[in-house]
Amino acid sequence: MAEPPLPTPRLEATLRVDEERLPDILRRSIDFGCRPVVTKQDDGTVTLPIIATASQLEELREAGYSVQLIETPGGIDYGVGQGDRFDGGRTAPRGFGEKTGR
Amino acid sequence: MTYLNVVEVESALAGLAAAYPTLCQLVSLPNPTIEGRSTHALQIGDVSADAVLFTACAHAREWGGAEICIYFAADLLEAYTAHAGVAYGGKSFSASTVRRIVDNLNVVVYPCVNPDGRAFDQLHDALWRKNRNPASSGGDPNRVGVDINRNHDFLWDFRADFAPGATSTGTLASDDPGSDLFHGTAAESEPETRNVRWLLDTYRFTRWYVDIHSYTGDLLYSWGDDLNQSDDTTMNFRNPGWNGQRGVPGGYAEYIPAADLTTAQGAAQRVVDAINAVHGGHYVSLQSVSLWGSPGAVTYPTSGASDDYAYSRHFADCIKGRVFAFTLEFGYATSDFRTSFHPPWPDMQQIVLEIDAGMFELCAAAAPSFRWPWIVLFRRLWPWQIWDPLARFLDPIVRQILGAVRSRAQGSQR
Repeated sequence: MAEPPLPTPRLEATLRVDEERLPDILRRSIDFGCRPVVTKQDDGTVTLPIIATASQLEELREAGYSVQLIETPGGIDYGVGQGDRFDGGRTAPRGFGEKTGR
Repeated sequence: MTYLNVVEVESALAGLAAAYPTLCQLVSLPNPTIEGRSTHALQIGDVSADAVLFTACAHAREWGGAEICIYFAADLLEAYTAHAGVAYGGKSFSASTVRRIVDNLNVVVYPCVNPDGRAFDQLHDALWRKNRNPASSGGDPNRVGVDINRNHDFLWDFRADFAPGATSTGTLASDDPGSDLFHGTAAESEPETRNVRWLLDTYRFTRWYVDIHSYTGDLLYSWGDDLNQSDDTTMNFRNPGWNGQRGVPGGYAEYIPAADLTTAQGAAQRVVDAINAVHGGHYVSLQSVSLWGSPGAVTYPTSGASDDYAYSRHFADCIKGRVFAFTLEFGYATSDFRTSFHPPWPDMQQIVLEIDAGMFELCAAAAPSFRWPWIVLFRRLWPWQIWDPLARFLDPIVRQILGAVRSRAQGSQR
């Protein structure tokens, strides 16, 4: 079976806006993560990370927002298991907590 | 160690069910995913007891929720069997607490609500959020999928239910399939959403529900559509008179009984304190709609979210039990999204310890030290097929009588 086409790659960026413009930016259809992570800066601005396509980032720049691209570290292995370490249910996982008072 | 792939999530649950057959059982969810995957939950303890439900990975890229649930279940079962307590860094639970949880509570964990999305994200590193339903995409890969956490039956029709100012908010929900917040073609249109509802329906004594997400280091309590208020009972999500006015500052605020708010805030703080006790973290609890710690400064209204749906059920249907519902956002923002959503595994292991301590704390708070035998018998034997229709029939009559009594009492006071 042929692989389904993949979505357009998206980039990570940090938006910097004046605090009073925050509601405006939250109205835009942008991926802010599960919830927006807004950080107040000393200069009265706020920053928030976003995920967007290159064209979306360009639109934001044209609208006057400060957009700083985040260089995603390449080659990181976040580590997803290969195969099945629990052997189809014949092996049970062990918890990470320390068992006490046995 | 590494993150679990979707096959391993299922086989881990099967492994626990096989290793502890007298303490837990594998529960098959009725709705296979769009890509044909069947999923399971693990039910631990007595099904006739009050239940605590944990779900995770509704959002595909938030990988660690599955591991949090599975290793929590493993700790609980292992400690109970060994007559042991459990310690997570600076937070510990005694053997008697573990025993009380398993003996007097029904703990249900559903580690991977959205396995299609998880498999896609783990394969393609796409920062994918939604499920993989292509029905509304028109063949465009950028328009595939529905956001499960905007697909629940709570103020789902956001264009009618919310104020125009809120509907333009990029965080509320979207009817554009190209958006990460696409809410589907109808409430509960997605099999993943229906599976969560099925768990709430099936475990009718569910009293607590936590939907695990990442990442902002928050524990969020209801409501998520607007600010809370406890004065005006008519200002609520069921009242169509308030349609078109929700989700913007001023005017509408969602009714929550004062006692419920106190209970929800107290439980949230207790869980947060337990999480922070593990490694000295800085998780906070706040109302779901609040973006900042101070309520109302900048709000983040949501439509069709799981926590609001779970808590709203008993208002909407008299036979549903009251479920105190929360969204837990594990982890913290790092320098980039990928590391925030799925931290390197050694960091994730530390997060698992923290959140598992919070889950234990909630269960410890929920588990009674004693249950009346007649209540246990009542719950096991009561014919709900007869009682539920009868209760629905009697509810408006009882409400009418109570209302008449109340207004007569108020009249005689004047």
